[in-house]
Amino acid sequence: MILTSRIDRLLSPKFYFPLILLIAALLLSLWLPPFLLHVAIMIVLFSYLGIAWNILCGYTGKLGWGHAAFFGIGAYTSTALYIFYKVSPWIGMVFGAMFAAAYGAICGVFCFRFRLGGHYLVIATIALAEVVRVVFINWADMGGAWGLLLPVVPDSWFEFQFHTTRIPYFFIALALLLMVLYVEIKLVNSKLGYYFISIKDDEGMAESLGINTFKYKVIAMVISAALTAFGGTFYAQYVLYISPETVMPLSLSTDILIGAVVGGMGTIAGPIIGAVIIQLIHEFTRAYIGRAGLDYVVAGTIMVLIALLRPHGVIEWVERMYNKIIGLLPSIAGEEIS
Amino acid sequence: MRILEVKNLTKRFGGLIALNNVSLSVEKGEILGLIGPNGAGKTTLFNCITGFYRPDSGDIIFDGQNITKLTPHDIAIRGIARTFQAVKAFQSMTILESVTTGALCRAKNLEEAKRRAVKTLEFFGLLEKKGIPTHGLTIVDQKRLGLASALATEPKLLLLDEVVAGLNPVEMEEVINLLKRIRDLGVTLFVVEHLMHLIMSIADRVIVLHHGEKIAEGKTAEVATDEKVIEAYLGERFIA
Amino acid sequence: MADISTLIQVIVSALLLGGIYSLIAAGFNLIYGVMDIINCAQADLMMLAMYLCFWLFNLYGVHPLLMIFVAAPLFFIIGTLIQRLIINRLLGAPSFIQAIATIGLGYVLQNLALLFWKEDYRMIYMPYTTAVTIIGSISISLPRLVAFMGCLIMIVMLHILLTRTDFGRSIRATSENREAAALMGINVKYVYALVFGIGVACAGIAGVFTSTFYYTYPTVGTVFLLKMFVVVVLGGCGNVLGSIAGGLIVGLAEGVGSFLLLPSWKDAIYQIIFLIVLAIKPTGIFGEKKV
Repeated sequence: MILTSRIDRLLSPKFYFPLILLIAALLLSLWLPPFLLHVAIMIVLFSYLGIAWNILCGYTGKLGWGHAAFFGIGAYTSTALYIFYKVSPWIGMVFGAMFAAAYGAICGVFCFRFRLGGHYLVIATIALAEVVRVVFINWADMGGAWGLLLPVVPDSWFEFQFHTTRIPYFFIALALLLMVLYVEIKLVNSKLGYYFISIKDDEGMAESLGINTFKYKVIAMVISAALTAFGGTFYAQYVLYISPETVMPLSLSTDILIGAVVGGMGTIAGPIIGAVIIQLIHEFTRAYIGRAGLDYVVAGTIMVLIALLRPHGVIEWVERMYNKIIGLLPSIAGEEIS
Repeated sequence: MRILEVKNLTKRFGGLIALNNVSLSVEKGEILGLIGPNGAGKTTLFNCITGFYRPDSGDIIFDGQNITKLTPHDIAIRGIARTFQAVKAFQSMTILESVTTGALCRAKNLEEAKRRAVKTLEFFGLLEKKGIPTHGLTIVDQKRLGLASALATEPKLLLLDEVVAGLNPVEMEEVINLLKRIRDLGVTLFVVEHLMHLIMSIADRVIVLHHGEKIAEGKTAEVATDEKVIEAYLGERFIA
Repeated sequence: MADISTLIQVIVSALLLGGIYSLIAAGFNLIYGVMDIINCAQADLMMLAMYLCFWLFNLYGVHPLLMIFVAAPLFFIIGTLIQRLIINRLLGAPSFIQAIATIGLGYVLQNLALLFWKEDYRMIYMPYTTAVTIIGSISISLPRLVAFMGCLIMIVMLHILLTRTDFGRSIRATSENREAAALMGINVKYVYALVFGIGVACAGIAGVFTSTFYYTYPTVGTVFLLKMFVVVVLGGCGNVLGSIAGGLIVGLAEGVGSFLLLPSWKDAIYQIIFLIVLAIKPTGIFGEKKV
């Protein structure tokens, strides 16, 4: 019967295992000490950012190194609207995404109109991001190089601030992550997904099949930019202080993409795996060594190792291990229905 | 009725003249052959027609419209599809996905594109292989896949660039039959070939290029015995 | 209205810094032109040389300029080691992956410097570093002038090495066609190691010169790296001599920019020039070149 077979499928480890993991993560967050909760939030945030980056770079193959600009535009837009006009950061988030999308369109049109690729694209996106950073450094109304301090208010969902416990931040971050995963899965199975991947595989052939590669590359950049901006607003509300050096530097662009590269570009789980690895290293080395520096030494070494040994990311290993675990788990229905 | 007209087309690369004042026309429903020794400008001509190159002078008229300055995707949407000499395929996709990408050109949505892609795969006899990833195919099958994807865009005119290169005689027969069936669907074919055999067995008319210039044009049998053509091929492999 | 001599002074001062950019870029271009490798750690290696000069000066009183004779061979060796250990395996990899590896290397260098030497800004203080020469009515910082001329001489020497020596011929042959060069008896692995070594040595020498008038701190490399990219694209990727033009243009742009606008805008000036050049002629003013 169709009804029972559906339930049977849900009871096979392939489905219930990730569900259990998700519920475990949610419950665990309720008991985690503040530092670990912070690490968890960072992991989720950078997973989110890595997936947002992936939507442009993993799927169309156009690799940009300037996403910090979109992050920063999101952070500054919502913060400015909040500080100067008392607009709720939730609404500010949407405006942030709109401005980031606009700048994404500018960057996209510039880069793809001139058919930049490979290292030229990398340097161009860096330059485009640096220009934004310098603009904000010089923008006195936006705090210039000193940045903006957000007013601290008692816990409030409207004001998007929580202090007695940071668990709401974790849930919000998780919600963002689930949202972007949903967007990504929908995208991959849609017309856009086909267009993006065809552009990555062979742009010339895609054009010959009637695909306007310029338009879709720009669309990918715009979507990626808007999503990244949401992360910027979240970060602003989490840290309650933003400045060009903290939300727009080149190193942030690197941090955003490194998870996706280490985990596996162009895959769905890759950026998450990579974010887990990188953020765990960052937070724990920083905490136990005390001084800044070692975390990036380790991160840098990992970058070199990944580039040399596993440029496609560690996802294959992880997938193999995951499948082994799934294979060992019992199927509650009694028989393996995949 | 002329479906494609090329008028006084010239294309230079630096100091090299790849196409020199070439004019030709393609009649609707025919199979037109384009032959010439290596470097004659055949692929350059295709690239100009399909918008990958911008010609330096001249016009290209398709179905009554001047398409000379259009982008490749605009031209594809108007109804010209092509295959490539080098194997070009979407390595991350399966066969069905590749052909679906082509079908998206005309289909209103993804579901319809998939259905049309399945029909196209049936036509090509590739249906059982539909879930196989492209990188797992032989070169021959990848070329067939390229042709299937191009056909999925439901073109009025199909440009084929050396579609039988590297095939053995049996495979070549299959391709010849396939091309005839495509023509029967109503698609006009413009076929570039290096080997006379294919042109002789399939083309109604033939145009010969040499050093970027048209040196002969006419019914296949006449052109094959044309002195200028034979001279151009001297030293080249000429398989009649 | 500020007077003309101030304007000229500012511009000249920035222009001279352009010489440093040129030398770093020349090393990068050599590596890229021959091996198709993007070395994003180039500027961080320069940073190491700067620290080398700083510490040897502060601990043993060694005049930084003498360090050229130490830095050149030392960084050459460091370069060949990096090439053998890391770069060798990156040959032929997509440029993004090369960037990941070399930026990772740069991170390691930057943060080791941060760990060992803290983030404080260091400067070599000796009479030489504040010396000026007067040309006409303009006073020019002597270390900058010496650095500029030194860098230019290095680039010219590199160019002569590449075009007039047998070794240079082997390098150019290898860069044209790796297989053919190997068939002709050229030891390609050897050439690559040497080329990378020379490229890194350029960074080392640039660092020596820079330490005489610029602040030394762990992340100084990032600043120079971004400018180096712009220099490289302006002068033509892989074009060693083109680096001179690229460096001068960036230096000039910085000088004019910081005079006309606030100094804090100067970082944007060269980026904008760069974007304009990318739009108009991405292969650079003098065109890309295989070395």
